[in-house]
Amino acid sequence: MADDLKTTLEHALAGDAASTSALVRELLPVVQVRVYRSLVARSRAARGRDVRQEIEDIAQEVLCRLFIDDARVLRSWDAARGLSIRNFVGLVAEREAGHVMRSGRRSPWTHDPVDSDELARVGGTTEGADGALASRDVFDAIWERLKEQLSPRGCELFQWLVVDERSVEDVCEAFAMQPDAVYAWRSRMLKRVREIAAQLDADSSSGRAAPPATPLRPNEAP
Amino acid sequence: MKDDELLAELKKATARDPERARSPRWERLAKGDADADERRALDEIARADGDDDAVAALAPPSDEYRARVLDAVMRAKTPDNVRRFPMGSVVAVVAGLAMAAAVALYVGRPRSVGDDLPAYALTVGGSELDVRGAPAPSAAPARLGPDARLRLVVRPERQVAGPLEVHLFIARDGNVTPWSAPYDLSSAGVVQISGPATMLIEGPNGPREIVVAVGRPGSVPATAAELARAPSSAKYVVFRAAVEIIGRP
Repeated sequence: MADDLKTTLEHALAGDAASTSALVRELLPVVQVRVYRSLVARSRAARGRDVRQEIEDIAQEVLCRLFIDDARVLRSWDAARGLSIRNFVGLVAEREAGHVMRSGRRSPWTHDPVDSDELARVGGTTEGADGALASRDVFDAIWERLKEQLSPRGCELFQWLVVDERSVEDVCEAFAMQPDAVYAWRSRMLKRVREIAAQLDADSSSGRAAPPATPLRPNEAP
Repeated sequence: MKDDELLAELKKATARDPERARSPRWERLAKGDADADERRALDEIARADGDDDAVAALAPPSDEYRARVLDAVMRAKTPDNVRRFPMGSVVAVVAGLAMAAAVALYVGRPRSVGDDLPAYALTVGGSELDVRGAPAPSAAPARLGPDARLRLVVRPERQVAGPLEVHLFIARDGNVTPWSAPYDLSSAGVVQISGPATMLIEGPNGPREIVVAVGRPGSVPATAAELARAPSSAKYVVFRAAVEIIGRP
């Protein structure tokens, strides 16, 4: 599929209209998801607008930006740098959406904070499955499964809290969340990680290969 | 393993994943490839994260929207295909930016007979205006800073049937040149230009005049010079909007 898309891209850049149409069809969902994630991560600054409309508006602008000026942005993609074309386009979409939101004039929507009463605060060490947390491969496998089980909002929260190590205060400000809700999300995420680890550990102990990442459903028992 | 250690290892795992930023399941949803079970599963995931709107927000777009995006992309890719002005006529002297009232709302009222056009209105939003609103007429140009977004909408008072063509120009220091901004022409006859000002309007700080002409094919004056002199007619409308680029290095 990746090779197919690369061929489609080459034909589109050569001026083939049908390939351009196919390329837009393939890239549009990538752009939509990344724009949505960017909007989610700026909920505080984005109040009172139709998020669906915002996604469509910005997605169209992103795709035009890719193709304008003889597709200068698309032509700058280089597979040798390690990013897939979809991921490259996703980054362009994030930058564009960030530009929109930083300008502070469009306010797509607001997101109500998660009800903190129904969620528990995380603390200390949780139990279980540490035996599976010993190797780099295991963590790669855990991550593969975890990212399949994150919502767009969850992906952004993971990025902010775990990857970027932003403070809870920063997250609360950006996502329009209460601190308890942030701690609770982190607690649920950690619990899920340990469930995944336990499943991998069980698979390893029984001599079975680790199952693929996709079958796990939310709230599925390990 | 403590939570912090666990998170640190997860962070390292994400760094090893070149596709870490992608969400393939949600992309399948947006593309329309997710079946009912998958949509339910995604909705459960989203709601658990307090993201109740995700599935609706990322539902597959309509065919009309897809077609509109593709149309805009095609125009962005080959802007000359929709600018029908002969190259020899694209540079003309306009009688200065003062010829256009620097207001954000204009109304053109051609006669309305047969395939004649109804009255049109132009709204311009920029950095200091609500881009979604219909700003009140003002004597000042829309000022567009480095992070500004421009939204320009030419809207008929009622739906327009039949073919239309759109010509765009931009004037700076008295020189008028075709403007290659991508635009959307809806089936109702609404023309919309929207995007970051830095992308839409190139060049240094200073005033510009945007010229938008919408009309029946073949009826719009064929040269920038003619457009500069032309009032709106029954077959086409011409709008001029003043903007000012500020804050660019």
